[in-house]
Amino acid sequence: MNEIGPEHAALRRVLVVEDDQAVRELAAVALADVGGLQALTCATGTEALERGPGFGPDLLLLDLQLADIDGPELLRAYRAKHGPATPPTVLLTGRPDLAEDTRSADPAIIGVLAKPFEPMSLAERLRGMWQGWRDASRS
Amino acid sequence: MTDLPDGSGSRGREAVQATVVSFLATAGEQCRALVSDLSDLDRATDANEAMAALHRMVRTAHKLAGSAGSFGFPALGRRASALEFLLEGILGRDALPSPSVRAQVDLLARRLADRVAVLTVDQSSLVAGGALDGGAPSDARRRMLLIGPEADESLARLAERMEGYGWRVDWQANAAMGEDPARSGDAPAPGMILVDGDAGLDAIAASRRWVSGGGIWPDVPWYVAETRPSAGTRAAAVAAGCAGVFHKPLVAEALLDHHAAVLDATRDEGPRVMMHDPEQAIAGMVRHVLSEAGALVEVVEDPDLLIHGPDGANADDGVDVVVVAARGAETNSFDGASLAMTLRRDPAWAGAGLVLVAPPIDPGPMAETLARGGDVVVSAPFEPDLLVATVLGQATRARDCRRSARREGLGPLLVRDAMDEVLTRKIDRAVALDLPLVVTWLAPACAQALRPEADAVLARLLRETLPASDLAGRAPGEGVAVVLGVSTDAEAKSVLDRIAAGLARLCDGCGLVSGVATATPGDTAATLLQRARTAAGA
Repeated sequence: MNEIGPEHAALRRVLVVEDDQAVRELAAVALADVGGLQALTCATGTEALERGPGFGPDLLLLDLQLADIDGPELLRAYRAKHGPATPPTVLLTGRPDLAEDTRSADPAIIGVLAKPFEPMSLAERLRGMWQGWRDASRS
Repeated sequence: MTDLPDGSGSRGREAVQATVVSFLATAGEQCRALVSDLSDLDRATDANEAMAALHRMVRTAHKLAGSAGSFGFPALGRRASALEFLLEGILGRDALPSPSVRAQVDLLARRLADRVAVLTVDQSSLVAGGALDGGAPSDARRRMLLIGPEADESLARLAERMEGYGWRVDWQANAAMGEDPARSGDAPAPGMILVDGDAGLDAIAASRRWVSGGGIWPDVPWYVAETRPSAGTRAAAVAAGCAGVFHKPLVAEALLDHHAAVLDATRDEGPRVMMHDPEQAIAGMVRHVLSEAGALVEVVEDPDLLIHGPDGANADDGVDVVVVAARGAETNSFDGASLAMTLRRDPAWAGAGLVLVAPPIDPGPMAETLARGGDVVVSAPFEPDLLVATVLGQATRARDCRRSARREGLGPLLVRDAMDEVLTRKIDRAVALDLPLVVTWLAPACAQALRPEADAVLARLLRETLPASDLAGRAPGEGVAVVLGVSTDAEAKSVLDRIAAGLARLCDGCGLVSGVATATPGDTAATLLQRARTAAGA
């Protein structure tokens, strides 16, 4: 379970982990160029574990099925390595039906986004999920 | 790291367009890999080689399915997704595909490659659909293709009101100009087409080509408006599958109400489909593509369950369509054609549409039996989108018979009792499954004299702007309640802001009062609606 409250009043930094290069690039553009967020993209779970903490993300956006590790596994590994600094997580998947069980099993997973996603509103949707999580954390 | 905190704007649009260019190059490589793997499948000298080719194909199809829609090519994504499910079905059985399954794989993979080869950036709905211009997310369902002279003042007034109701009007002077996006195949399908009949019959003929079974937009309703519709125009339009012929000047509200009636049977919940196909891999694929289109699908492995089904299609919540595949000779299974004819003769299934998937053969004596039920034969292998359009069309016809009287007029508003009943079920489910349930209470804020007009505009706005999965109905205090498919107050506010803007534009000087509440354990429909109403200050 995520044990810390958000440090910021608004979502600022998103770590995107997605093995499909085209989707990774689109997500980065959608979050940064369109949505005004800071985005760091990683192609593998290993890369995310190495580079993620230095970036200080407010939110993880994880592909459910990565090439080297699946999204929930990555979240567990991230938590094991970085403890309470692990931010809330949104899963990105073409099979949202498969993601719902995973979501209910881990409270740190605050949402599931289905592929295809709408790039022009991706940042807005993540802000909504993050804000909802933040409000719940504070109440 | 990408760090461009200046928000959307021209740089954002250019950046998204650049990713579409990059995607098309990647998709081209992926499709070439699919075709190459098809050849490997043909040349495989043992089962291991063949299975390896299938594994490579499913990985490629998965990537394409996951990315194409996000880049504004939804039809491409659906086709890739269908291929992925088909291949997963084959691999899940750990056996080489039969000839009919192999033919289905071949058709999907080659059509994917053919389509990607002719795609261009400006056919992406991210570009062509206006999504990059900001505002609400693109929604092809609310794009109207209007074909007629731009100097026509009545059409200009119609277009302006349509935009007020959230529709984007793509106005083309003649059919030839509307033809280009239709030919591309992956241009976003319009939600409706309106043809100015005064401009001649060419546009009617073009619309017929686009929306016919083999056309590029097979499920799009289209209409004709003409100053004095002649018998000849009406006959030509009806014969071409036109869903309505109107007198000009045509007002937006009349068009929208008629359009809502056309869509009514499939608006509030998905059609129910049962299917039997002895080829399990194809059955799995069909279940996927129909589910993606909003249908509730049950695959029946034992045909006896269909023949001896307890309720058939005549119960209030019965089955709308039965899909049966005829593959008897190949699989030594129950003959699908005989099954279809048995079902058609059974009074229990009289209310259901029937779709028979069969090899391209002359159906012979089957034809008369099936034709009596208005049934359809689809040739195998088939395009998934074509099958979906056919099944949904059959479902619409079947559900016309069961259309309930629980809504006000043409909807979307449920009457009070019906709203309470449905909302109670939704609250129970949300509490049991710990799902968010966000409800808003809203009402026009205007002078009493304007109230009836504002109320009618608000109802139409809800119908045109909310997704089909949202639920709207009458609520206490002369208000309207809407169960929104969102999980946070912030998302609800965004929806309400759009509705308020539309109401102000269409009904001069009219505001919107609204309040939001989220269901909690112990809530009833009355307590939840009261909290939302209190939040609205009403």
